Amino acid sequence: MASLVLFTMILLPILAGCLFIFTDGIHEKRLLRWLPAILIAALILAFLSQTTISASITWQPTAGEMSVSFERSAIILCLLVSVGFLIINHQTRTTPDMLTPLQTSLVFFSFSFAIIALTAEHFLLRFAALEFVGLCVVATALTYTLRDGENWKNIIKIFINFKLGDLALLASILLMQTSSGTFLIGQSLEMALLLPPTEQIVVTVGLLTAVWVKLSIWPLDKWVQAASGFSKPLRVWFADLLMPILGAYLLYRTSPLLSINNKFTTVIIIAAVSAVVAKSFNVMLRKQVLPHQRLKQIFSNVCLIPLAALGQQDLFWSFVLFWFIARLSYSIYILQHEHSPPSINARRISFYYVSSFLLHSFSFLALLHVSISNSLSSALLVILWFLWGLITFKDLGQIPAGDHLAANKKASHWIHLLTIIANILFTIAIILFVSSLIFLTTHYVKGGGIWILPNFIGSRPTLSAMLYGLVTAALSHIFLRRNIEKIGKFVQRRLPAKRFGDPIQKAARTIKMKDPLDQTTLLYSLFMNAALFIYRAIEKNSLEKIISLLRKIFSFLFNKIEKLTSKELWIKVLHFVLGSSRKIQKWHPGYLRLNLFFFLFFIIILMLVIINQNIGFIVLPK
Amino acid sequence: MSNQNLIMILVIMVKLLSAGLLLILRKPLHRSAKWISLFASLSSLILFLAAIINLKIGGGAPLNFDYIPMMGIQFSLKIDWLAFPFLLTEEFVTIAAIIYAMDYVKIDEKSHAFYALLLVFSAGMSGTTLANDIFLFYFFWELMLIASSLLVLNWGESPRKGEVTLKYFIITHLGSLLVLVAFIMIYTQTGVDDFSAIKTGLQANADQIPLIGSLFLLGFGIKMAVVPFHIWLPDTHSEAPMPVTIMLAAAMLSMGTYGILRFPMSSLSMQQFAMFSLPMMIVGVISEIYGGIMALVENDIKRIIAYSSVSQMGYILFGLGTLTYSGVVGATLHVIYHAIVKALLFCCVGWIIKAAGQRDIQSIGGLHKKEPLLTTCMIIGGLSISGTPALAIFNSEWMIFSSGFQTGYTGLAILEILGSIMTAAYVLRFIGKIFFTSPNKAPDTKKVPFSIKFATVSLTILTVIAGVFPKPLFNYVVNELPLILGGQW
Repeated sequence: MASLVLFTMILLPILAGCLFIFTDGIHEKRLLRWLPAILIAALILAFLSQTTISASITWQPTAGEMSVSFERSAIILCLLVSVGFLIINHQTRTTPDMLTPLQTSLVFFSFSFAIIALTAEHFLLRFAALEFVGLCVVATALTYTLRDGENWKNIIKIFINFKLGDLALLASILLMQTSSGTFLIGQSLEMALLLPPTEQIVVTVGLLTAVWVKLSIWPLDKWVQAASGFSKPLRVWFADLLMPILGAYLLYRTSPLLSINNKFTTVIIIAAVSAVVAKSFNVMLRKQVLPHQRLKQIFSNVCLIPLAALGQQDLFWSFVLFWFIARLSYSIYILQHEHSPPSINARRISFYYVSSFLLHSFSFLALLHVSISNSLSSALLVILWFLWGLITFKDLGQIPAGDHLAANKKASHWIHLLTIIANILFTIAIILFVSSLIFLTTHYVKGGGIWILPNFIGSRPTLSAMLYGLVTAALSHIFLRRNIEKIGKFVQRRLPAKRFGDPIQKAARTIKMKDPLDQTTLLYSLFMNAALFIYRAIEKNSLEKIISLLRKIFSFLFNKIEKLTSKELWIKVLHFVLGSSRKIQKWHPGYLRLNLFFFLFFIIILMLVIINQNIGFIVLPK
Repeated sequence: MSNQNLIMILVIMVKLLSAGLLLILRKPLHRSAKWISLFASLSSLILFLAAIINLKIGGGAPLNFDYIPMMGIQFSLKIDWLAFPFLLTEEFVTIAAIIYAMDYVKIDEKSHAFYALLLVFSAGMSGTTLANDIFLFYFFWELMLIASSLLVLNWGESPRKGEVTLKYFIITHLGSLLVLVAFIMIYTQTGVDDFSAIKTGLQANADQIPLIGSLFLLGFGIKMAVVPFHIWLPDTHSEAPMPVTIMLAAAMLSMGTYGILRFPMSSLSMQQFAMFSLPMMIVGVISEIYGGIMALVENDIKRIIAYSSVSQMGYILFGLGTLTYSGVVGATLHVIYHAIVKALLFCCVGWIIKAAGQRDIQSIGGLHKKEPLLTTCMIIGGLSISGTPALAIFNSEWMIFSSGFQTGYTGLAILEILGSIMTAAYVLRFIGKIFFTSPNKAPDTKKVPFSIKFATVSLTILTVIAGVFPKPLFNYVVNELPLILGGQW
């Protein structure tokens, strides 16, 4: 059965992808319908299996045996990715013109590599799999370049962004391997806990850089912007589902490291908060971001970081499940109503708003857990709650009312509000269901059930934390709701106008508008200028420059110094001396004595020079 | 004379005799010169492969002839596991270069001389790796330089060829002279020119180790073209005809690595060599980053790949400098992988020049539509040199990176890893400019000869195979370790 599962999960999508390329998508519909179903069936089979399904290969002897292992916790994540894969395939099947066969095959390949990355027990294998997923994104961007011609800059952004994350990850892996002597993920991370503090910080920074890229947190989110030109299913697959889950899984494995050093953890969280604050301002300045970069999504990603810093891996794992379920449901919405949110209908529960509230709820619950644990400084907590309030209330305020509500303006306000409340209540019911499901899953997988909902009843810390959070959020809404635009404009006035391109008032065309936080062009241009300066000043014809300098020195030596010691010079000087003595004598005979002294002085100098030049060359006979 | 010894002589002589034949018979062999040289290089490869079988069962005694007995100078050849990776690289690269040259070099009254010199160049490299005494080593070392200089001087691609050859000759000869001084110092101590005597000589005069070691490292560093001794490389590589460039970049640069491994690293213990470790690592990192930056701003496609060699030599020097198992094995593997990938990249560059008739990346664009096969080969080559898993260079690159952390110089190791992002940057710029941007600049391409395509595609396949199946090569390369740094692994 092990071979069957491994073949189905890893090789089958690759083979199907190849089939797509070579047959130009002839069997597209059938494959798209059946493949995800087969994959999910295989995963269920693996989940129910009594023994853990695993396989290993020796790729390079120094790296040791590389293995993939379908443990239950990994299977659950694979299952969620497969559901995402199913959704994307369904979308591709229903709107066949959206993707080319090559693009569909890239989705298939990336699925396989993601499964390897999630099940790998070997760091180098995991690194390779992550790199391949990144390459699939790059290849997808390349398919657009092949079609449109002028999108190469996007490929550079995506490739360099991923490469940076991957190299940082590799540095951490190798540093851990040096101390543990193995690439096995579990052992390496255990040994990383025993490393000296400086090395621990280096390892953590490397791992978090990779997480930052995959979760697309500012400033390492350039790849998401570059991928904004992808078709909807590709964008959702890569930017909303695949990369974030891989980043979250990496964070899950890294979480014990984050909780060791409190000061360092605080710095990381400050970085995350700064990132989200910067991004929020950016988003609000530009009124709208790319569809897959809505603030609630970014904020939910950032909330994972303080949660991971609690060091409770199992709790974090259950939150990752909740977070990904929320993301999955939100992705379904994005695939249907990407640019315009549907108006709310009083007689129906809107799936869009439920999925949206799920994301907000995730952030809320994550922050609540962090607040209860007292692991974060109150100043940071205030900022996070402020941001949550701002994003959530702003999102709620933007829900458009349906036509039937607009017709009866008097009642519309209250009906609108009640409908939102009804939707929220429905979301709470779903949260209860999902959290029960997660409880059962963790009970089965981890050996002990975990509630993602804290104990509200009779628990003072929970209630006070919730009250504190809600009050802060409400205050942020009250104070910032009207002022955010002003703050945005204030910031904009202080930023160089050139970077914005279009005036802010015309921000409706936001995707085309330049991102004020995106300084890659500036950095690239600075770097290239510096490199060009080195090239022109030092590198180009360097030897020729040295030779020309030497030539100048030699010619100086020859013209000035050599002539001093030449015979002609001495003869000239002698003639000069004799001529001048004759002139002096003509003026007055009494000057003869002075003249003789002058001549004697010249002879002494001449003798000294001659003696000096011949010292060491005279060999006296014995 | 044992079979092993006969094979060793034949590996060199088959090329030298063929070269002699071409130079003596001249006119009747103008057309068949390429086939004769291909046959000679293939024969040499087959003989070398036969030598491996012997090597696997323990090898044999070295081949010794007295040359100047009163001065203790002899003619000695030996094949061991240290020579193996370099000889393998050199044999394969020669074949690739000759296949490439078949349609690249026009048949005229001088073509026999071109192939003859190519064979002499290759024989010089084979002799250098097989030599077991310093006299013979130096002879082949200079033969390699003379043959390559003549090739650049006569078949150079611009009127600057004279200046460039002079520059190449003088600078690399300066390196050779530094090595010669080190040899003479050792020889005056021992009175014997056998390689094993170097170890004895150095151990007996431990106070001279810093000086002799520095001379070796500087001399071989010039051959490796690490910063700041790289000044000869971009000009020579861009000036030489493409088959010679392939041999220079893919095979001859590795001779510097061989020299470092063969002399200072084989003769000294790890403790004695430790004083050179940090400088080597620092120069390695500087070369890697500097070469990468220069490749990023350069516009001439041949010079871009030439600077890429400077960068890649930085990796190798860094790996050797770490004095760790991973570092030394990684650096040796990197020599082989770099040879394959660099040969591939230069083949692609030659293809671009033949097809587009241009060398400036600013004047070429949108080539992917006209040359899809070339685009695929170039992407694979580019991904490989940027260290993408499952392609040739990654296997050695991560070992080199890993070795940096094992030394304790974490900062340098991190710099080395992050510096490799430069490789990705120049590869992207290069590929993007030529193949994917400015489709309006797409030139009217000319037909490219079959031999160029064949060599390029073969090397692409080899890049993938070497990346996916690194185990066999690794198993051979680790055999060199007992011969280095006193075998303290």
